Amino acid sequence: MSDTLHAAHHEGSPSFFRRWLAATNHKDIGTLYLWLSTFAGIFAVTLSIIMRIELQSPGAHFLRDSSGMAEGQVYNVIVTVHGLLMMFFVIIPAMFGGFGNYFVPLMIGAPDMAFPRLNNLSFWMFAMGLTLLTLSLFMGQGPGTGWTLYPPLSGPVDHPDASVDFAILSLHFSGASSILASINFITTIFNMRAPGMTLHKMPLFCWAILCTAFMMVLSLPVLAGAITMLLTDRNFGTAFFDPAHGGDPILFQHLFWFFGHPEVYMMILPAFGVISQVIATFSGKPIFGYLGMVYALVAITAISFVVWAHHMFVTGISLPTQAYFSFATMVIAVPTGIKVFSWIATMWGGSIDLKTPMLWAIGFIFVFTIGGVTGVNLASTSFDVVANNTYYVVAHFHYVMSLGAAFGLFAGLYYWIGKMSGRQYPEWAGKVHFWGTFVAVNLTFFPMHMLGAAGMPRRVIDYPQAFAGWNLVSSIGAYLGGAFFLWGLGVFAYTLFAGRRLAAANYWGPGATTLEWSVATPPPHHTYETLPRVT
Amino acid sequence: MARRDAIAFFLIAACVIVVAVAFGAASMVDVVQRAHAHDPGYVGLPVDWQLNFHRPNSVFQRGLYDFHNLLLGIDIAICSFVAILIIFAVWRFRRSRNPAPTPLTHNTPLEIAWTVLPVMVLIAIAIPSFELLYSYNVVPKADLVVKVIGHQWFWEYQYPDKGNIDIQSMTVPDDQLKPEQKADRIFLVDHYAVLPVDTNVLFQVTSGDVVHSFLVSTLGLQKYAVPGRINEIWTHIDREGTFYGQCSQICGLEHAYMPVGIRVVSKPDFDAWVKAQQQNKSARARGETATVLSAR
Repeated sequence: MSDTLHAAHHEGSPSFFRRWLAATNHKDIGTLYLWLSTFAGIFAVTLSIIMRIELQSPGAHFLRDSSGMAEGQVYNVIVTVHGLLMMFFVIIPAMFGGFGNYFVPLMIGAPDMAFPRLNNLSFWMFAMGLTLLTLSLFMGQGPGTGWTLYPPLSGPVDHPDASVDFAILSLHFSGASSILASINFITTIFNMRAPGMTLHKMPLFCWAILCTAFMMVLSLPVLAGAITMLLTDRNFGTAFFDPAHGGDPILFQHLFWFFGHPEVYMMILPAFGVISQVIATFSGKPIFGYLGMVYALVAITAISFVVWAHHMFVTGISLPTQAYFSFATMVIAVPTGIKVFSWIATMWGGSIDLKTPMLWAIGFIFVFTIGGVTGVNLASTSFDVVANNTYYVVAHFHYVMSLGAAFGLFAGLYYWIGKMSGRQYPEWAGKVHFWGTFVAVNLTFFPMHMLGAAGMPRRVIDYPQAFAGWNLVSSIGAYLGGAFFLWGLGVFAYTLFAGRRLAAANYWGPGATTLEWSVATPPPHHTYETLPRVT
Repeated sequence: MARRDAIAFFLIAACVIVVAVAFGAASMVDVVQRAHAHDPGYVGLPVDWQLNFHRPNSVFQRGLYDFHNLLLGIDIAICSFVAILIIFAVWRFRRSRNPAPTPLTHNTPLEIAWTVLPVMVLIAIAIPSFELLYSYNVVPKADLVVKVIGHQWFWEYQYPDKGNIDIQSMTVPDDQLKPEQKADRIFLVDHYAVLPVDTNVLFQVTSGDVVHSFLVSTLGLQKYAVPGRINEIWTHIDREGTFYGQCSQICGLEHAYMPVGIRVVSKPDFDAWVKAQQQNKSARARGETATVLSAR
């Protein structure tokens, strides 16, 4: 009797409540992460469209109060929440929490994550963080500080109500969630690889997740410390960042960017991993220079901790400090260059199948290269004097993140949606999604380089006539991008409900060599009850 | 077969290079700013559809403009190279033509080459970059010190060596603009900071409330205005005119309406301005307070 119950429990069809609200299965948790970050993504994209409507022409036309005054605070809040959502609640949860949870155990041949209940806690803390951030929008005047939360603007004088406290606590939850998830990934990857799966045989996606996890464990506590100090400055009369009482606003910037620079790599490294898998699969050959790729990831992880002050070149840091951070930042171009060239070399001599995931991956290489070279430009302190805080920076980081990380996300979704759902997307619709998005996002973000050169500052609701031309182009691009984003959502919805059913475990053919293609499509609730053996 | 590949490669390369060179050339000389070159009003204002940084008005800015063009050239070359390789690879190694992949996964000389070559490119960038960095960070003896104080949401300019002249500079609200001024709305300010031409000017930048950033894009200057700190930046402007910039660090409600307006005049005109300011100082101060209050 108890044996039958036991078996039923394991074979499993747990009730809806047990399966989704008390999820401990890595695939279920990955699915939950993907769903919730999709909703956060819709939310964040909507905010960006609102910004582009406002910026379509000079003058505050859209966001203004009844007397015709520009709603500067509303705009600042939208900028802030767009940034926080995209970084903490869209890209990282989708790539790290979603794909990471779902595919790392499958790829290394582990039955589940090391700490399934901790995994559940991570997800719900992420959900809690998202809830708090959403609430902060409607709390008083909202957090209009920019995602960097620089004091004194984020202090009690300029943001007296609870909105910034909500944003801070939201980051606390999101950060704790990521730290727990990282500990889980590190433990899983170090201890639960299938027999024969040495670290040097591990797929690059798992390496990317491992490096991301290390960055999170080492940098998020610093953010937690900084925003806790901000919280006590705001509420308990401390003066860590208040110059009137001997505090220093620049200290916050140092602490923030010590976390903030690894943070941007946490977004792009999982994308590197996905792109590596996709390019190898659709070129029909293993990744070129695997070890070089692995140690490029490790190098990027290490360097990410020693370049933070390149975000602060014009804050008044000393000349030797500027010179050091300028130099260290340029060094990042070397491992990144190795990755770009290795991807191209993987395609070289391959048998390239231009399926939708491959299109996104090739698009990724292209936009990431553009974002990468402008990154090297910005590494020069002397150049940064005129580019810092202008639209040039906005163009740069959207090329690596909005385009780079998001292209990686879409590549992963098209690559794995069949495996996860058991249904395949319509190929033509995926290709339309890619080409439309590719044209639209370049139209949106390329003109921002010119706007930055002309001197347009970031985070402004209104601008002089001299910036009108390129802003109009950018807004048109954003509307197109929004339309193709909706198209993409439609493609995914169609796939989940009416897509062609897949029967084969490995529907991509011989190019797909990693272990997730050896389990059934869709994978059973429990995988690898007998461990696979890697040779 | 090999001949066909070579032709395809050169065709792809030619197309990419033509586009890249056209874009690069148009940006580097900035055809749009060129078209406005003789328009006196545009000495210190950005122009619509501008492609590159503002044409230089100081030694540092000239170095910066040239340095950025060097970067732009390198960037365009790298992006074109990657684009040519990708497009050619996709065409040449497509599955219908190349059904059996070659199992090439290692090539040590190649891997060393693509590690060393970027290093060399970086050195080529780093040398002029550091030259420029060190040249403008060594502050020469200043002939004039201007204290710049950021406030929510206007700039204050103090001349400590000139009898404490104090200028509060606010954007002109839309309803007070003359029709011919509409095109430069937001940029135009009620009171300008005035500087003499051909003089070493040292700005001491600080803030009275939150962090602002003193960005004068048309003079190639930027420094954060941080409360409790004084940051220094200097310039030597060699052209008369009126130059504009904007606060570039988010500072609250009216962050978008916080322009910098600097009028650069001849030395005698500057002395005359100083004299007039000192004579009218108390009267002006009263007047300005009234302006500030009415604008709030």
